[in-house]
Amino acid sequence: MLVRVRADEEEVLDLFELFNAAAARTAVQALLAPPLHVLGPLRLSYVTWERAPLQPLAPARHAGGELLATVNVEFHAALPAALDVDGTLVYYAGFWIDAAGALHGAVEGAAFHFRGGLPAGAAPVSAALERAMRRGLGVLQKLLDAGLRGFTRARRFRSLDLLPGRGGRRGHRRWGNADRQVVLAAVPA
Amino acid sequence: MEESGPPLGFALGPLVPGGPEAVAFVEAQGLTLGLKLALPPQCEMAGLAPSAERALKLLGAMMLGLSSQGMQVSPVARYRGLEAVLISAHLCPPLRAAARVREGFDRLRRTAHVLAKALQEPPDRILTALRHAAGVRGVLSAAPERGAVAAVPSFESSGRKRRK
Repeated sequence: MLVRVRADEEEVLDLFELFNAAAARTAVQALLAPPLHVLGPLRLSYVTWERAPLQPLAPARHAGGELLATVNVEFHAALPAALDVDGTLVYYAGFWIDAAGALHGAVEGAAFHFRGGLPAGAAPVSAALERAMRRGLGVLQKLLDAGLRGFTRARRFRSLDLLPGRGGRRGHRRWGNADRQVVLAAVPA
Repeated sequence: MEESGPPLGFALGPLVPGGPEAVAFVEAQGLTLGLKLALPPQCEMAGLAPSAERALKLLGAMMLGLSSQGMQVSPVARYRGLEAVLISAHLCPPLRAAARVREGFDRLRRTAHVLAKALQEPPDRILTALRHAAGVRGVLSAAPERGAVAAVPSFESSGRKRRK
């Protein structure tokens, strides 16, 4: 069993809420032109760098065990002749505290894959997905910057973590769903 | 095609020294280009019967991703079981420009390169590695200027605090 003792003064930024706010959902949906559309809420999770599919593109960018938050966009495309495809577009965000104690976050990359339907019919949507993937890097970075500005309020921090669920504490009924929700937890200096 | 026999095949040798062997099949409906990727000895698939459940599962992990890019994967086996996989792509006529063939082989070569690395993974990681290598298309943004890093979220105590 893994037990984590959380500092009393720890604060959390709910990344699920940040990326599922109405304005954020609209911005993400706008990345995908028909016949592509987003299915359900964006799912937040995390992955170690060594397990991220982007890792082979730049293995030395992070330590193997460093956690990156993932913003998972489930998409569906209804193609002619019922050749539908499903897949996931994933954005990867890294977080760090610099030597001055400032908390930063950056959308460091993205990847997509098909996971259902008839991928042989997916060639027409692949180019659109490539464009959406690249455009989304800037879009999600703006959302992240705005969220971090509101959270940090120019304060300094001494530690940070990514926690599953909604970062609720005992006595607060706000556990969340660890399969699709993640919070950034940081302790002010 | 059945009346005219099997397609005319050409063994083209490796595209780059030490690389996988290239083949091409000329058919009435175009040209099929392929790269034969030898399975490394430590690969879990090597020596299995092509119909073995595990072999089919690993081939399936590659098939889903490759087909979304207009490519296919086929098992290559002889009496000692699986020894290679053939990654192929079909070019439809008209085939007037040699650049199309070069471009087709370039695509296959890039895919074969990442698949070759995935095929070396141990049994507990090969399935995910093949799925990612075959089907995940990604892009990195410019590395953020992190300066001196005091802390990062990490599963490793050694990675939690580090200075650049």
